[in-house]
Amino acid sequence: MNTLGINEKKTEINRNLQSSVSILQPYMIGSIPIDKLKPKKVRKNTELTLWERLYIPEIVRGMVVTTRHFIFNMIGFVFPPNGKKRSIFTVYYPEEKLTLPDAYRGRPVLVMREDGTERCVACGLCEKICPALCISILGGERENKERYPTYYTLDMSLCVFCGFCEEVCPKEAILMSDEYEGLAEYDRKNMLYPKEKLLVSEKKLQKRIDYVRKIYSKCNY
Amino acid sequence: MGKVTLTIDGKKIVTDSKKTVLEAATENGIYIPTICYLKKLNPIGSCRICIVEVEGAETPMTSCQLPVLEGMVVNTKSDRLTELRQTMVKLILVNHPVDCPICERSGECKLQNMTYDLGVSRQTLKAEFVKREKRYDWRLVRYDPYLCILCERCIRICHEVQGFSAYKIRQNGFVSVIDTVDEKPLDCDFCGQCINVCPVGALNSALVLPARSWEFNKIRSICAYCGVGCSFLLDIKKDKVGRVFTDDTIGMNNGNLCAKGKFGYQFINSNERLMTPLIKKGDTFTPASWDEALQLVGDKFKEIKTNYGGEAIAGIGSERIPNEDNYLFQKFFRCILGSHNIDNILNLKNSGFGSGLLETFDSQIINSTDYVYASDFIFSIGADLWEENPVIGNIIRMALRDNEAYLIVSSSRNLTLKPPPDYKMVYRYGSEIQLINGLIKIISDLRGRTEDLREYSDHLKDIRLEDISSKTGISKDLIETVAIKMSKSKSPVILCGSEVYTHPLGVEIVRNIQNLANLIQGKILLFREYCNSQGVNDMGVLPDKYPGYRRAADPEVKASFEKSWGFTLPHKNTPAAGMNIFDMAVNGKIKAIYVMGEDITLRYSDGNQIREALKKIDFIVVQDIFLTETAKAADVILPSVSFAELEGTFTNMEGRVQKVNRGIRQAGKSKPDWEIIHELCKKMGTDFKYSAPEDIFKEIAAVVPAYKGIAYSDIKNNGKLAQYSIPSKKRFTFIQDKEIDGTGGEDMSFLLLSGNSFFHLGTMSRKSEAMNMLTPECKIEIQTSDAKNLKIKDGDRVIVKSAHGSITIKSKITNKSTPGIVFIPVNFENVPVNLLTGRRDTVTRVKISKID
Repeated sequence: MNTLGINEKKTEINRNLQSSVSILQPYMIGSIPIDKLKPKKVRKNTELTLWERLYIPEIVRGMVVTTRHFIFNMIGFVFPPNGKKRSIFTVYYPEEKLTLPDAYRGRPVLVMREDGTERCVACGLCEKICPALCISILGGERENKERYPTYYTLDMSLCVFCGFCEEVCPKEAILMSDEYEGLAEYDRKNMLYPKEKLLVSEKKLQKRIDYVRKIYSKCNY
Repeated sequence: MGKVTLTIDGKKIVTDSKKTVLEAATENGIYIPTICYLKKLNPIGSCRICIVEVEGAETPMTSCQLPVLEGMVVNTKSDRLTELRQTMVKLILVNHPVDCPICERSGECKLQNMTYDLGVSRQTLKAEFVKREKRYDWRLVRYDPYLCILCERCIRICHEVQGFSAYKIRQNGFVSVIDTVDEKPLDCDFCGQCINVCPVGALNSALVLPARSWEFNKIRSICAYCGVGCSFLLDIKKDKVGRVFTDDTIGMNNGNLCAKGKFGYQFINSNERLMTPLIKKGDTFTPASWDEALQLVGDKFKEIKTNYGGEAIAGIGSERIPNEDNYLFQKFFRCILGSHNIDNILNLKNSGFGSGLLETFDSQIINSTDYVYASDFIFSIGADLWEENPVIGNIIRMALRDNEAYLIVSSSRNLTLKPPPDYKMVYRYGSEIQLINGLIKIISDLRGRTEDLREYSDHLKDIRLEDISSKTGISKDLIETVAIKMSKSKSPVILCGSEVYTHPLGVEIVRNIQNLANLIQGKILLFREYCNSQGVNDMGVLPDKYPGYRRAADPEVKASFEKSWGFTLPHKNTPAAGMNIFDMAVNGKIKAIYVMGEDITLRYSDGNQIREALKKIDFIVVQDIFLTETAKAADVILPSVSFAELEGTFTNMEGRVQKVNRGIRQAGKSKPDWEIIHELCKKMGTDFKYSAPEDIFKEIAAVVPAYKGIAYSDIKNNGKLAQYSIPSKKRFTFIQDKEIDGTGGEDMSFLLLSGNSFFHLGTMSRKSEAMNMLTPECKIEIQTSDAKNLKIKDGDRVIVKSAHGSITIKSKITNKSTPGIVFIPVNFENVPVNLLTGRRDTVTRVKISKID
């Protein structure tokens, strides 16, 4: 039926990509080629079956899962397997911290160049796209006729960590960092982050920059 | 104009034969896409997107240039046309980098919209990359040749509307770019019209846009500089004015603006703005709360009123503040303080154009600018047409273009006008009445004596053209030629500029102009200096007139105002002739003065007197947005707001009542003027119970006859014209030539004229960086031959000495001044020109000597 349409579109995209960027074929999502992706089966009927309506078996099922986790966790804690302390279900935060995946979206930060200036050119696209309306910019100009934000605030009390700003930015100037700590405050005024608080040096963000190039470049360029 | 019937997209349309197909289609709601077309410019069809198919013609034609013809069948939509239009857009995009995410104009770009509309999604064409140079050295204008699509809108508007013709296209083919005519950095009027009309982001303002176009909150407002009252849009983000933009469909200015309107907005967000009320303690000002400051003012006024009577308190209204605030100001003085001692600078300078407006003149001298556009003969006297009110200049140029109107310019200065007028008359200062008498004589001789002129004709007999020619310094032939042209014209308009309204004999000149206007059935347009110069007088901020120019000495008028206001009003004592507030202050009769939004120290003509008067007055209250020279002498300073932060109405020089809308939050603790007065009234025990300017305007409409029938909510885009009831009788009164009194010793040979410099108006524009960049310092304009005699070079410092005082100033050698006349701009607080001048009814002669 309409798969034909999709295929057409897909081939069109592929053709475009082939003409422009040669590294990126075949079109991939993560590490899976797009042709091999199959739609997941989703159960559509929301009515409960008789078995579910009986209630007790479902509770028992839930308890089994909880107990299994508890036992595995305990065994892993008492007899840690080789190389690792234990097989993990629980992370002892803050003594232990998770190794975050590349795609993790922490607080948004502005990229600072080596000379201390921001990469941002105050184009206002992040402000436009932000669904929580937490970004606010006023632009200006440096002496070398380069635009920069004279005023850039990000209201962390509104931010929903969606990462749209990062995706839309044409200059790789705003990135979702891996920082998730110290964002809570007692006073909302402190959650209005000025430009100085948002700036993070390029070096620290190199990993994320590489990741962003990898995942967004195929669609944008 | 004949009518023509044609068919566009199967729709029968009857239209004027002078229209084009595009105009006819747009009027009937048929959309034809276009990029380069602009209604106020002549079409050149450079973008070629407006192409249409005409039955019988093989190839499509550009509809913007195609005149309508009888029986024409036009097709605006077809597959072939769409394909051709797409190709046109692709051709334009070949050289246009798609830098939309960082382009200033993105979101309002015509090319961007057209690309979307026509569904151009892929570029199939390629062009060789040509390296071009971005221009950053054009002062307030920036040019990006990569983005330029060469639609020539900037060239056309500069040529047709602004008359400057600053641009041209350099080279041709792929490498062509826009450049200045002399290929040097741009040095023009900086009206910013080219930026307004640029459909893409090629021409931009050097005042960098702080946000993207879609983020701005667009507030329709009125320019607060000169008396024209142009409508514009203030683009606001975060309580900051980002830029000024225009809309061709609103206002009387047809989308035109001058440098001050376009770039002079920076004073609104200036750091020098007053933020809190200030009270003088010792020699310094200390910040105070509103409560404290107003309590002090109220108590002081009460004390002075009980000790010396209400007449000991004087007030100065402002020409830059809305009608509502001025109205409440005079009501506060008359009702609560019981004083008629209120005035404004315009009236202080020449009461004939202030309080005497309806009495002195026989016919209407305030007319709509529509007459100028429709006119076929424009005669200006004493006006620096292109510089004084630049947007009136634009309207005149469009009249010259569309009606092929005649333009005759007469002035005592040798003005350089672009484009040059048909005839230019440079008369000797003070011989204006003679010149007009000469014109009247020739025209009446041509027309034959009519009944009206019977009395007049006796005087005309004595006039000899040879005398006039020798007195004015204009050749007899020129006067005759102008008079003949004038008598043949159908709808003449006479413009009176600043030289007339600041002239010692100003009223006589305008009355004589009325004689001329009556004779040729012309309309007179009197220029005004500030945005509300007309309104402040209408509102009765006058010592002898209630609102609506009703005489204060008349007991009936007093009774009627007592009835409508519900207060006992003071009796109007007729002061000694020629005594104004500052004379009384020098005599010690004024104990307190309340100055609202006016820098009287710099603007009052007699600088020495005003400084002496301010020293003698015990208690001075100044309400302003900046720490002006007057404010420095004040005891209490109340911070007021700029036009972007208030709501109200301005009345411009045509008598058009236009609404100013509030766009941004008030800076610091400042408040609108009417609110301050309202609070002060409460402190003094009376509550007027106004909640908004609308309430005050309702009262104005009831009290002022000219504003009758204007509802506040009805004042929309084009404003409402106030109807001044001047009896339009045709009366000829012969005006005898008078000698002007001059001050100055025998060695003082130069006549001093002062006025606004081109990029400044008053002292407000001095707070705008862009305007300061264009005219950074005060320079005296001396004619070339005079300078040669005095051995002064351009840029030398000179001492200008008059009978009243002396100042040191830089010189500028120019041919604009005529021999024997020097000109000093009044806008610079470091060069107070009024120290040199005396009372308004005299002219000042000065001596110029070089500093070694």
